[in-house]
Amino acid sequence: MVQIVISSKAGEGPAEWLLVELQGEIVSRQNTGLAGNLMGDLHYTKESVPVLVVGHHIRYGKQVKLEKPFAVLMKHSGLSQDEEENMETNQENPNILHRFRPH
Amino acid sequence: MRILEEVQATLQIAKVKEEDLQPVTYCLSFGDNVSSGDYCLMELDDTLCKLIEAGKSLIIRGDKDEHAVLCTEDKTYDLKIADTSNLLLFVPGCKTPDQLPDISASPQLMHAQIWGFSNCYWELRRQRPRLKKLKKLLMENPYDGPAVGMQEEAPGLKYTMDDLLERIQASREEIEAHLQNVHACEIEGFWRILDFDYEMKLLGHVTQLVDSESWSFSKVPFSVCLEELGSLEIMNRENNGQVIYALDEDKVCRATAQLLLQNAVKFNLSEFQEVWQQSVPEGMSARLDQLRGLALLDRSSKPETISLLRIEDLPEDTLERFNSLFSLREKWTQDDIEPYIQDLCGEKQTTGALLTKHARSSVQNGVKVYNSRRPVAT
Repeated sequence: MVQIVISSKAGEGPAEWLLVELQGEIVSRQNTGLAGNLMGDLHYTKESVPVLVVGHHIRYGKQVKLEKPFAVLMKHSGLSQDEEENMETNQENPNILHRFRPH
Repeated sequence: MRILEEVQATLQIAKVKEEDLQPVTYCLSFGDNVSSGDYCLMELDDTLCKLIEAGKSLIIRGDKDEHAVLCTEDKTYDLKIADTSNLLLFVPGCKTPDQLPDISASPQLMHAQIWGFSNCYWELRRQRPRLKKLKKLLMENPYDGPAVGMQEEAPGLKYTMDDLLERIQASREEIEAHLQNVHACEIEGFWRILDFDYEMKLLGHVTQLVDSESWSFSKVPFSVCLEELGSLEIMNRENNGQVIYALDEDKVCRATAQLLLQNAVKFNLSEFQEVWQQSVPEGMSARLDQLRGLALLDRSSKPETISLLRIEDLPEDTLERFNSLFSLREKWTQDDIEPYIQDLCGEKQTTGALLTKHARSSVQNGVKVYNSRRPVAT
């Protein structure tokens, strides 16, 4: 049987990240891959409404508290046992999700 | 690297008024790791969240042909992929308005990297672990006594706790609890199930000893027991000192009943009760309620009968279990069927809810009975 261990960095506990939900897909213009490319600008209005500007598109969003927390698991090659892979977690907490729909 | 003036220019083209916005803007770009695919998103519940925050580990277990499960020290969860039609981006170090400085500060551009994205995530659902395999493994090689004379014990498969953790999709505590349920013992580091006849022989020795020493059942000195039963080395030797054990009346009576019932298909109930009471150690009382999950009474036949029906001999899967029970008997009262479905209940589920879901009820002779929802082969 395979056993995969999920551990989080001892000490401070995992960092908290932001989760941004978008409708549709994101593709790079010349299909050169996304890494390193700009995505867009994230603003907040004075009423704390998130606004995302991607290329020529503007999306107004909503800040939503996640019903359940999420964790991001990262693959981490195991040290000794060959059947084990370690994954680290980073947490999506305080459960903030910015949800963007076409305006 | 994008600068503030470029951002402000974009806002002008997009016709978004800068005065409506808070001063801090995040410029999001994709990090290097984004396309590696070496990550995934998993939904947690509060318990798991707290465990991870405390630095505890979780373990995913499964064989190639099994559905993977996630285990904590004491619970087991099913893993399922959930697709969303949307894209989820994970951005570390990006603050929300409540975490940002004063609205009246001057415009500022911050840079944040999108670490990864996904359009699906893993969902976790608490489940009762599949433990039937545990007994099956232990039954491959039941223990029937220490090796006689100079012989080595016959070779056979033996499992340590770590071996079991590698084969059973359950958490450590759930496995330990089940080992207790099936009366397994740790002998020389291996978990063994006792051969039933051997177990009964031991029980006989102990009760005889208790009898001859005139001890009360609730105060059986462990160390004296050990000395007397010297050759029967199954007890955990680490337990020295004045440990007092109580012979569990219910367990003894139950084991005795099993011994009697396993040799015949059906017994006349009143005859059985007589023989049973005579077979248990003096001073113990044999009661029918001790046999829940072990035997089934048939009060509709004349004379009334009793037969062996052990819950561990029934299928583990919920639907198969109900099918099996309904093919043994067409209609069940809740009281009769309850011991055989109790372990199927989910975390907050009652047997009543389970029956509503899987059976159909009707009233027979003023009593509520349940039968199968689907045709069952008898």
